[in-house]
Amino acid sequence: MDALFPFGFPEPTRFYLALYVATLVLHVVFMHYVLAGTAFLAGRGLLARLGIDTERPAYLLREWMPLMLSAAITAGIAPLLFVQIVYQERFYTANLLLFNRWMAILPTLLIGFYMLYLLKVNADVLKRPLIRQAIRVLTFVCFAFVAWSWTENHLLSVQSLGVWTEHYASGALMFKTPELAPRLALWFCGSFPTLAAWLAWQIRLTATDDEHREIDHPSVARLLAGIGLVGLLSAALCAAAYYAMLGDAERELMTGPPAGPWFIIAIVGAVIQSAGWIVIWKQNALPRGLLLIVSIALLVTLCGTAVVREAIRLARVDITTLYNAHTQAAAVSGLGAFVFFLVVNTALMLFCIRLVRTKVESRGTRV
Amino acid sequence: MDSPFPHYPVNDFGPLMKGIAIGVLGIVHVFLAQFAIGGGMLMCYFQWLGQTGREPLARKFTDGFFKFVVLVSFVLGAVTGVGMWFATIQVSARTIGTMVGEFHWLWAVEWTFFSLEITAGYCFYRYGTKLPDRERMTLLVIYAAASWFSLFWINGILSWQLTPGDFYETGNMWDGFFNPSFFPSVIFRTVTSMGIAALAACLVVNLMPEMDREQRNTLIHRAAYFLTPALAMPLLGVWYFWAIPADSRSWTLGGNVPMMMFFVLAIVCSMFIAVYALFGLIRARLYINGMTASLLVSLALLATAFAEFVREGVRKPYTLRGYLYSNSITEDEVARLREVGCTTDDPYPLRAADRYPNEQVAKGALVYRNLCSVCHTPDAANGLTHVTGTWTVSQRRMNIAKLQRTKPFMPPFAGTPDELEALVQWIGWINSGRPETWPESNDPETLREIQQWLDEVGTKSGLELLAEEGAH
Ligand code: HEC
Ligand code: HEM
Repeated sequence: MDALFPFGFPEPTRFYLALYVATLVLHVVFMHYVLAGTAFLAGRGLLARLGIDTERPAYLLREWMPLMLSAAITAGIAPLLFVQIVYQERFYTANLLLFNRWMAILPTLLIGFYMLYLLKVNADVLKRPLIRQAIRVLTFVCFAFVAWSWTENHLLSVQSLGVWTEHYASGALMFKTPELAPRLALWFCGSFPTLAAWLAWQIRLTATDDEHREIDHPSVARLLAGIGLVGLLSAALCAAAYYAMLGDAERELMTGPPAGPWFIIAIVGAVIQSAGWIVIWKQNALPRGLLLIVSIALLVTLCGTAVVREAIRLARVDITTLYNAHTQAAAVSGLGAFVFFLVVNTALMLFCIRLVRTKVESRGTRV
Repeated sequence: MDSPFPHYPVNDFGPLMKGIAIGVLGIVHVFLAQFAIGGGMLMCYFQWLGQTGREPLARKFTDGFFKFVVLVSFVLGAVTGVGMWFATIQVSARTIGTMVGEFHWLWAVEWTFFSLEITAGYCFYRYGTKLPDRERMTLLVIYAAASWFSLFWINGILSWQLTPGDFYETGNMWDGFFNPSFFPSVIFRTVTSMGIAALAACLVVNLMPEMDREQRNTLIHRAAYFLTPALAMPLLGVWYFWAIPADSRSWTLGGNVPMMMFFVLAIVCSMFIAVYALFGLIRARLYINGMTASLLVSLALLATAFAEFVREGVRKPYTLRGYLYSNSITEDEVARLREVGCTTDDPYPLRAADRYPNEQVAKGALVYRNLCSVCHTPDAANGLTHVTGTWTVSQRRMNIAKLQRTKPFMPPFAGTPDELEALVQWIGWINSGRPETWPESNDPETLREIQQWLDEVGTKSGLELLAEEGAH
């Protein structure tokens, strides 16, 4: 494993690992919106006390959240499929060891989902400030719980058989490890720069409804820049804390030939994002070109981080023992069908979006 | 598919059998998914009625109904779908692992359709009311087709579990996909989906405000036409049953009493709905109020529940017919496990091991965990101590040794005589109220006798034994 990730593996392994990481990034892009977005809604009361107007992003978040959650879940299914090919037994074992605690993410997701609709409903009981705030906080708690579950499951899946059997014998509901806090915090803080970029595009691209028309971009540009910058800074601190906690084996892979370059581009992406948000702050506007640069830098950071994350796992899992399974998986047919339908259905998805944008627009109401 | 035996930690589901836990989730998921599929088709139909001027009320219904479909199926359907996956891992990780290995690209294909379904669905949900008819229809058709194709793909994988066709001979994934029960089941499920959507539509119409009785009646009778294909269900059912293996068929025709009961109940519920649709709704043009509609929807849910129970049940003793038994042991591994034992290499210890009176009983508990717990509990649902309660110790030994003959829907016993004796002692200990002390039985004569029974019955599955004897 001296080559750049994912090249240092035999063909089938490389292929599935790359697909896994790529689809995970897709999941993360949407999942970040949900995690940071619901946190933002829960915490916007504090910003209001500081005299910051959060009306426009809050409106967008309430409107788009159900769709974004659907997207996060749907996008999650793809890495879920590939993780079962690359690390099948480990993933299943962690699921089984956590048992009810793992399955709890299902009702939690459901509750969270319907809470999102409650956020949009204007019934009288729901207008009481205390109830409103309770709904917001609870919604966030649901998704924070789901994030925590995935991190816990992941960390359990990379343990040794000895840890597993001990965990099983103890009948413990949760898997506790010091790594959990900084890792989860990193995911949480890192979700804010993604949220800021999403919101910036949504504000640029969507129409302002009548009640929101008077609110112009400048008032939100600084808010978004603030969200992006605070997110990047706090994520960097969490990353440093997490790094300090890791052992030599992990660090060697993270900074060595396989993942080192990815680590570097992740940092470079973060620096570019920071610079971009600073300029946005100064200009107090959301210019398209700048947003494009920030967004590309964001994607670069997310890809880099996803690979570095994988390097930590690879330092703990002897992947050479799994090569056989990957070779077997690669022998089955169906890849052609997948590529074909991926192309066709992606085209159809774009067609639907274009149809809505052009046809609704032509009738006078912008989307 | 010849990986070494993977030992997974086995969880205790308390008084429930694992099948029940996954069954309940499965029923909810299947019902919702079918509702979404039929719902898509129904909306295309109503959109057509509306835009061709045949039914002025249709547009209003489409918008109202679609909100309902989205709220129920996108949310509940998507989450219970992921839930099915997780639940299957809990019940038999090895089953889902093998299926992922063989069919991951088809699952990936299904994922592209699901993404399309969500995209088209949301476009319609948010902007449908602001779109001209032609575009509305386009979105609805894409939505309906995408959701039906999800069924198409997943149906191939699931029907393969029971009827692998030529798959194990040719090793070709497509042979497994287009297996003997593929077409009957995909058509059967399509018809069911249409029926469920029609019934749900009757319910939704009753919940829609600002509509008088006459208007409701009109819409309900339009929707009722979606129930007519259900009249073909008996024929489709026969086709399906003709396609599945004879032994599976025989479980539902009396070979297994609960299975037969559920099978009959599923038929009765479906026929009741179909007859009501034909005579009540279409011929006599009766009005369905909210109460009746709820009742019919519940009946459809019950029919789904019974039918899913039968579908899961007829796979026994396999989860993947001809390859993997329900207890996650492959056909080929049985012979070796009879030599080395099923508990020998299991790294996971017993939980609360100190509650057992001696090592032999503790080992029996392990054997139960590895070989029987997927279908039995110790003394609750399908409790092992209940089903063997009236037997003498020696009867227990022989019937368990010849497990696949005792009931051909059980897998062959896959352990050593020593393990079998431990299991029998564990059963006896529980039957006696779990006393503090319990004698170990270590008579070599007993073990020899068990070995002889094991040798007599062999390691083939009960289904194979029956088929061979039938052929003679
Ligand atoms: C594939 C699922 C499955 C597995 C695995 C399984 N059983 Fe069964 N077993 C059943 C079913 C279903 C019944 C029948 C219940 C009924 O008819 O009411 C049954 C019935 C029995 C009976 C009663 C038979 C009779 O003639 O009354 C015994 C004894 C029994 N099981 C023992 C075992 C033991 C011991 C194991 C583990 C070594 C085991 N079973 C594993 C499904 C299973
Ligand atoms: C809104 C709800 C969700 C949130 C907040 C969330 C959050 C997360 C987080 C934080 C991780 C990273 C874990 C880590 O590396 O420590 C993760 C990974 C992952 N998530 Fe999600 N997730 C959500 C829903 C889902 C759903 C519904 C699915 C499946 C359909 C899914 C599939 C995955 C997969 C497969 C991984 C990689 C796991 C691994 O490699 O160990 N996620 N998710």
